[in-house]
Amino acid sequence: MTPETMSESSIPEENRTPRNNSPEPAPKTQASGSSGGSPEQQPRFATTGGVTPSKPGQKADDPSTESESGVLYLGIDLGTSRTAIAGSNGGRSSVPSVVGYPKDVVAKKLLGRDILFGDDAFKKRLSLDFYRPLEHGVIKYSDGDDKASEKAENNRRAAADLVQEAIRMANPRSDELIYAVIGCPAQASLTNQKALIDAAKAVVDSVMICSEPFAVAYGLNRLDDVLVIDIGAGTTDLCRMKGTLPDAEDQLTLNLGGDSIDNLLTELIKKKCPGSQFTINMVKEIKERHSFVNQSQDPIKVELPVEGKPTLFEITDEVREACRSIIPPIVDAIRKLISTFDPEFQTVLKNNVLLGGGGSQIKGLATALQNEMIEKLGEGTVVAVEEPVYAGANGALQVAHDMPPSYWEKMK
Amino acid sequence: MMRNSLASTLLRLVRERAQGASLKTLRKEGVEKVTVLDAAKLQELVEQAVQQTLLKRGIELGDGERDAFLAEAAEKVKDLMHERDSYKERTQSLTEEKHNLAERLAQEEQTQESLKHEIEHRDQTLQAERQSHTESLQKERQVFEAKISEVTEALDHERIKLASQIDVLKRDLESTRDELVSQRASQADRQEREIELEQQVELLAKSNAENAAATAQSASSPLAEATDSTPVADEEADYLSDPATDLPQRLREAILELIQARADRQDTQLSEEFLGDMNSLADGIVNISVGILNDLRRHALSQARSAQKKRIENLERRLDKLKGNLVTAEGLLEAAQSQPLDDSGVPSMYRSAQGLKGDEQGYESKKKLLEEVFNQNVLLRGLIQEGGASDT
Repeated sequence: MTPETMSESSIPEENRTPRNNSPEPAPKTQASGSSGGSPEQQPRFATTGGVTPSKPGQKADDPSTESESGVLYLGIDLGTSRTAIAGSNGGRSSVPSVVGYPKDVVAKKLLGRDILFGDDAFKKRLSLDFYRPLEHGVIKYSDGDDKASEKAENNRRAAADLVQEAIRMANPRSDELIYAVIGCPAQASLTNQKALIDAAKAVVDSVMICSEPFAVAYGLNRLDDVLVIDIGAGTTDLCRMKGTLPDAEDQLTLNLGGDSIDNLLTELIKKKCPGSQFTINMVKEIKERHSFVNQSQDPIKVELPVEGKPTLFEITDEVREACRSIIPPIVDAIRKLISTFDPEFQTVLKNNVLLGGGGSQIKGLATALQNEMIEKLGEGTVVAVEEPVYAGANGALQVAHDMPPSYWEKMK
Repeated sequence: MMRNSLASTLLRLVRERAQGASLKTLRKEGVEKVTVLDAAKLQELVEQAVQQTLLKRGIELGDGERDAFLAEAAEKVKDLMHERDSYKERTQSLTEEKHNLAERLAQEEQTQESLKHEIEHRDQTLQAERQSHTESLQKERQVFEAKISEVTEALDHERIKLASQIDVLKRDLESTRDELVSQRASQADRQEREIELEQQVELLAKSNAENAAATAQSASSPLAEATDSTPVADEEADYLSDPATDLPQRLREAILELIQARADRQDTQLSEEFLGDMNSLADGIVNISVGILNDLRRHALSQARSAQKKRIENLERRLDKLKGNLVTAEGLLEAAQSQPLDDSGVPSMYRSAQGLKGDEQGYESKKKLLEEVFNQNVLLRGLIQEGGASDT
């Protein structure tokens, strides 16, 4: 069986809408799917992540009650590799989860900024105190003996700045109330969650935390008997949903993901291409461009310098091997979660596996996981979400939207 | 004779106007058959044509007339041939002109074609340039918008900072004003006090001078001379007029008590004269002491007054400076407030808070889940406020 892809939203990738300050009501929307109401009642901006606009007779966007300021919902997915944000103003952005601060006054003057994020920070990392504040899904050094150390504090600060940058990327208006939900790794500690709340509270009116797998499932409206797999850079999180918030026993976290593939691929390329010079970032780029797990594939040829001379190497098998390395552990983890589930619903669960996260973009991974499940568990259906990068943010946005207003008031 | 002449004329004319071509050339041009007409046949044809024409018109000519007519016809033919030649030349020139025009047209078409290609190429180049320019402009616009945002933010910060500075300055100004007012009030009090003191000193000085004169007349002792020689300034009596201290009187009493005590210890009876001398001595000592004290007091007062004056001057300078700062700050604040607040954010689609809708699929279960999420967050906030004891 070929896995299907599930559409979170039929909105194009970049659906930022132009600025519109006019108070005219009833603009058209680009939203599709479950959006209700006639065009006259629909909001002026396209929705993201399946947030449905209000229907006639409801309080949202009623021209008669339209006020100067509005309510902006934000969904934030703080990932080890990328941080994504989706807003009810149609804004949707992502940034690599890296933060840099100028090392000294000279660097600060040269860069012209106090802080850099994402690709900018990566490009200028030699001039920066460079932080990748998240590791294995949580803020670095935030637990254990190092949690009071300076490096832990620096990483917390970097994570906080990253959250603020993500909110800034959503381009909110200064006169609107901002309600945000941050998708937090299931295993995040209190210190971690506090750091995120503190960071967000500086720029939003009210903030809540929810578990990332729950946000993904909620965004896709798949809350019953579904197993969510989120393959991130640092970890792979598996979470089974049974109509309630997942407990600790419903979740498994594997310390493998994009980073472990990078490391393995590095070793394999070293063996295959002796004398070649490359960095882990170059390997990451190769993986992001060529990753696959199936058998039929055009040869992957990359140019790597050997003693300064660009040399062409064919690394098809190496890329396949590295990418396939995550399949057996993931299927083992699936088996653990399924085998401890109510026997009556194990079959349903096996045939409701959602694959998300940046790692799910590996070509053929859903099929490979499904085949492995069929081989080891007798059956299985794996569905890859269409927009893995934004699945968490879209889900968090949907949670924010559906959260009763009184709850937001209490969390202020 | 005439016939020969006509034949030769015709032959000459035909030869002159005929275009020579070899058989090879004709073959190359695809001509396989050529119709040949010799000169005699041509002459015969002409003669026949003339004869028939004349007969049609019913004209019978004699030999002489016929020859003349033939000569005239030959001339006519000659003229017609000339005319034909001219037409032929004109045709040739027109053909050449046509060829030239065709060549020019071809050249023009070629030029047009090349121009068309060039235009297309330039159009493509322009489109690419326009696209790249548009992209760069968009990037610049983004950068500019970001800068505007930063500037706006900085301006807001600056505005808040200025407002707080103005508050501080106002408070500072008020306190400085209060301080200055109190300083001026105290200075005025002090000046009044000084004036009163000076008046009292003058009165005392007059009284002392009268006493001294009386004492000098009554006793001409060395102590009295010493007392006379001591300059008693008007201000020296400051302490004498001070009812709180009454220092001169107390000093005099102390000296006299000291002398009386010594006399008592030695069981000596003091004479009236000696007591008068002692009184003079005591007055002298008192005057000298009061003079010294008044000098010191005057010096201290002058120093305090000078310091106070300097302080007042400093305070006034500070006040002027603060006033200037306040004016500048108020100007900046006014300028900042007059600038329109550019909020470049994208507005939300919602004007008010939403929440789960009643007709949502799985409303009850979602409501329960959201409540759980909320409760977890409440619990989390509680733990954070308690200091995160468990930290799990």
